[in-house]
Amino acid sequence: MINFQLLFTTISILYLLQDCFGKKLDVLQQLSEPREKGSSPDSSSGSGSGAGSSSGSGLLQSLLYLPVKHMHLYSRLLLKLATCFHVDSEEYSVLDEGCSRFETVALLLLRQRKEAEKTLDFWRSLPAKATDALRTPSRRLVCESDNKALTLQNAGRFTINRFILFNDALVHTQGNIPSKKFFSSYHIYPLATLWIEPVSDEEDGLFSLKFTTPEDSFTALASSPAEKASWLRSINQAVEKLLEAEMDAKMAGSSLGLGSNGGQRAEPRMSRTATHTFGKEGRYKDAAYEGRWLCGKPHGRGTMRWPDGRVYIGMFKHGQEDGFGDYVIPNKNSNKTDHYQGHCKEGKMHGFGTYWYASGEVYEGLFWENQRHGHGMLSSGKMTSSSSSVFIGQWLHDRKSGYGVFDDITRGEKYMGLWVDDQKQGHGVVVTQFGLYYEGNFSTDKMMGLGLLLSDDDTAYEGEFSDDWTLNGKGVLFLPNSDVMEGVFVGEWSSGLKVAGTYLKPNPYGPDRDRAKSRPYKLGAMAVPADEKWAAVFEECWRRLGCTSPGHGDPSRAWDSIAISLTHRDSPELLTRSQHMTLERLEVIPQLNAPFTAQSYDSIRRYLLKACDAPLHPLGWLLETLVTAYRMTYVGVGSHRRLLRHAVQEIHSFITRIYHIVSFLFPSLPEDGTFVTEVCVQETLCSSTDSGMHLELPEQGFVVSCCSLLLPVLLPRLYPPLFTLYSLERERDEELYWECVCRLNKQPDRALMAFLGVHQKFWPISISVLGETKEVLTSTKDACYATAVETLQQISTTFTPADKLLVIRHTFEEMTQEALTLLDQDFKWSMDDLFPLFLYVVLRARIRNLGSEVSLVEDLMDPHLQHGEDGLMFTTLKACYIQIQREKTT
Amino acid sequence: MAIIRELKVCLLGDTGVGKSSIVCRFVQDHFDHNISPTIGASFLTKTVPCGNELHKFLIWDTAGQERFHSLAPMYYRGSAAAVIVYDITKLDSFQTLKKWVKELKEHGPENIVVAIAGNKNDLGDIREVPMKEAKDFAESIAAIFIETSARNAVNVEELFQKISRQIPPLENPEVDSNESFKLTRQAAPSSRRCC
Repeated sequence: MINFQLLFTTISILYLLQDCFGKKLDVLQQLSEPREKGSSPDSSSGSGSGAGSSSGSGLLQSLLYLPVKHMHLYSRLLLKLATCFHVDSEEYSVLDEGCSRFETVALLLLRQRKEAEKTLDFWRSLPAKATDALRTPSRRLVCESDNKALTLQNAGRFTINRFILFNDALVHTQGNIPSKKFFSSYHIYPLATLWIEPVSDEEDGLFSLKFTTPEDSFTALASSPAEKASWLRSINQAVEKLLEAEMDAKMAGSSLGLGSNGGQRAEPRMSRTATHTFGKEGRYKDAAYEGRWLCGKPHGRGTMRWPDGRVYIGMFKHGQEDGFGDYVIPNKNSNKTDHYQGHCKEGKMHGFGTYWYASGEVYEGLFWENQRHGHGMLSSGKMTSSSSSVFIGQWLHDRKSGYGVFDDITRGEKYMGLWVDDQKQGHGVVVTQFGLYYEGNFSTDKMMGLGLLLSDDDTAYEGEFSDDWTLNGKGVLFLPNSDVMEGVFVGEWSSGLKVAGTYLKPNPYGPDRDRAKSRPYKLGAMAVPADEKWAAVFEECWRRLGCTSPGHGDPSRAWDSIAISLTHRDSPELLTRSQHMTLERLEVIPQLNAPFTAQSYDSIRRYLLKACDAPLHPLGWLLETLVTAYRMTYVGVGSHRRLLRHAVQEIHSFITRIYHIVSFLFPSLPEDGTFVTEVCVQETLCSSTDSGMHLELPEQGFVVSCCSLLLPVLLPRLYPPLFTLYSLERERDEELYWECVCRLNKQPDRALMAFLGVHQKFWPISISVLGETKEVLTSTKDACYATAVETLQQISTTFTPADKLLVIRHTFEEMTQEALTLLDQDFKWSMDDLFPLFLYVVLRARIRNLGSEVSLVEDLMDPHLQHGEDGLMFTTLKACYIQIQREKTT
Repeated sequence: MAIIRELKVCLLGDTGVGKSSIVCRFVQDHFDHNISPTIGASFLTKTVPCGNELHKFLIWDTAGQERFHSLAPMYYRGSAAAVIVYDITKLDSFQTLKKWVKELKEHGPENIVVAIAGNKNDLGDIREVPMKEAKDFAESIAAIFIETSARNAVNVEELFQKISRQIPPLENPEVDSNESFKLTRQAAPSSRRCC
């Protein structure tokens, strides 16, 4: 290896000498004398100062080649040494090998010297001035079109085109015949970024080769098929050699140097790693690219650096940024940078990405041709999303348009409504941190036109608004005590109103006394309907499933799209092991055969659970995005009791719309609410989750319901904000309930049962505590029906209505168990007996937010269950909640 | 072949008049009798044929105690029929019945079928409510009237048959020859809240 290096240096020096044609011959000769025995690196310093004449150069040349000539001597010496040892001995084989290695090196050096000489001859044949720039020490001539005819296609009559192939570049020169200047212009095409392919046009009598480089491509004609083949081979070999040398250098750098495998491939790689600086006008002017190429175009992972400081690191496709990448863009106005990370398409930000603006704003969402377009979230103000104003919603060509939620941290307001051109326009709802609720019309970013305003104390105004919170025009004011004022209102809500109108006090004994209680205004009429919210999120999900519009597409193509998105991980984040496992399990697509059975239903359910855990899955992405949007809406200022109805409707709408997608993916899934009859009863099916269905002979089966399918994936994620809304809305009666629970629970078991009217036959005589039987005394507390009480307490730890109903059912089962120990086996509950006892259990369970739990179940439970046994049990729980508030007497 | 209609039936009446006894009798001795082990006779179902329909009664029991009276609306919400039971040997229970009828007329579901059942018909010798008075009352409110005896299984079946006949048939019965059964449900009540 040292020799290898040595030769290069030697030849370089030689060139320098030859190029210089210096004069101080004698100095050189003097210098050369002691150097005859010196090591060759010394010679480089000598040659730097020295120069030689043509005769001197010959001398120097032989001088410098001296160590090379010694190779043969070394090899012979080793061979001689080897004869001293036995042929089988280890020493012999080592020496023998050394000898042959020296021989190889000598041969290699000889060949390289010949190449160098050939190149030298070539340089000499050309005018030195013209070729100065081309001459670099390590460049070697491979062939040129003077001896192997190759000309440019469609060349002018008077131009001479020459192709010179060096070991690192292809040079194309152009000159014209009259002036005999062959080098009037030339192009250098580095081989690393040169692609050549033969054109099959031999029938036309042409033998052309197509050359592709990053910024040029041209076709050259060979004079014969043999010439064509020869050029093709030479160029390909040169390219391959160069690439392999680069690869080796890299490998050596990473200490994995295994060397090239020797055998040269006929075709050089179409895809390779190379560096190129673009020169031509265009987006890439003066930009330097380093990375993978395919046929003259950046393709694959690479880095593009523009002179103005822009840098793109990421995936390229056919010469453009495409795929997942990372842009850093220096901001002109400040010394900060903009930063984009996300998907690109055809050189533009396109798809899902995050943009960090130099100003501190962050946009996370969908892009379309460099513009924010589709669903996205923009946080502004401070960098942290927890304390900044956030907009989340739909964008259209870089502007807020469509439904969106804007959390204005500076004003402590949250707007949830329609936008046009970055402004609030159309229907919307505003809630403030001071408990105000407005719903109505907006125009040019302000409340304008008809609106409804509710304050925390239930004062309401319905009428005309002109500026934010400013009343202007006809309206009706409803006071909490159901007094009404009707007339013309002018002024700002918070700072005094001028009223010209009539004051009405309803007659408390009048015929419409009931109507006064129920407010005449209707909440939600001027809000955006839930089905119209987050449309862009669903659109994107459908798009990711390969559908142009919801439901229009091929399910099998959708499955292909899913498979691609699951495997096509281009973001650099690492996955945890469990995420890997989820992805692996998602590779199995549930196969549903013709009759839709409980098993198919179950496999869909299980698939959905997994899919919604994987953000790479279109459904997982959908869910994640919806959950973020939901939380952005109903957390913080959005945690407002009047928003509960909106929040519930939004969940219902999510379920319907997701179910649409699910039934598109599984076409055999029946419509929501369909009763599927089963021929044979499966034990597993009739587990307690399918409660409410009685296995009577003519109608075994189950009901397909979107709630039971989707709530288990949706509710656990949305539960905290939703439940907070419930408890806010229920605050007042929960307080009353809790007061009663605390008061009544002071009583011992027997007294409480007596008070509630539990029939004496259900009073336990003895209870077992840790296997010990104890008698129930009048002072015993919290001991009777303790298991049922504990069971019911679990209602707070479950999320879905189905699970909560199951808890209630288990509670009844526990009660029955305990009652059976007291009574004969033939005993059957009647509501007269059951209700007081259940009331006792509910009281003892001391569930903190029972009212919220009850409302949540009522709003979200499967509609088909409501008249069944589950419905009755649930109604009984609800009745207990109401009854407890009425138990005022102690 | 047939359409199964689920019909919610609500049982009202004073405690001790035999509400659950009537339904237990009704449901017993039949191939599809089904008494849930969980809540016993508080919830029972039974399917009876009626014309070309099958009526599946989902029978909800209510607590008859006076103090729980105000909870009844939650139970009769969405009912297709209400059976108000009184004890012919207790005049008080008949007075309660009148209250129930009034309440149902005012707050109950529209078009609810009301049936009045005078139970303990077997104890005619200690009768306090004359049959004629009850019958006249029933006629005045266009309700079904029948005297039953849960103990002797008198008129129990008839009571539910009468209810069945009073239920208006589905306007547009979708009888699909390919499907042997079709399940329809009462539309869920539009108001989600009752209190």
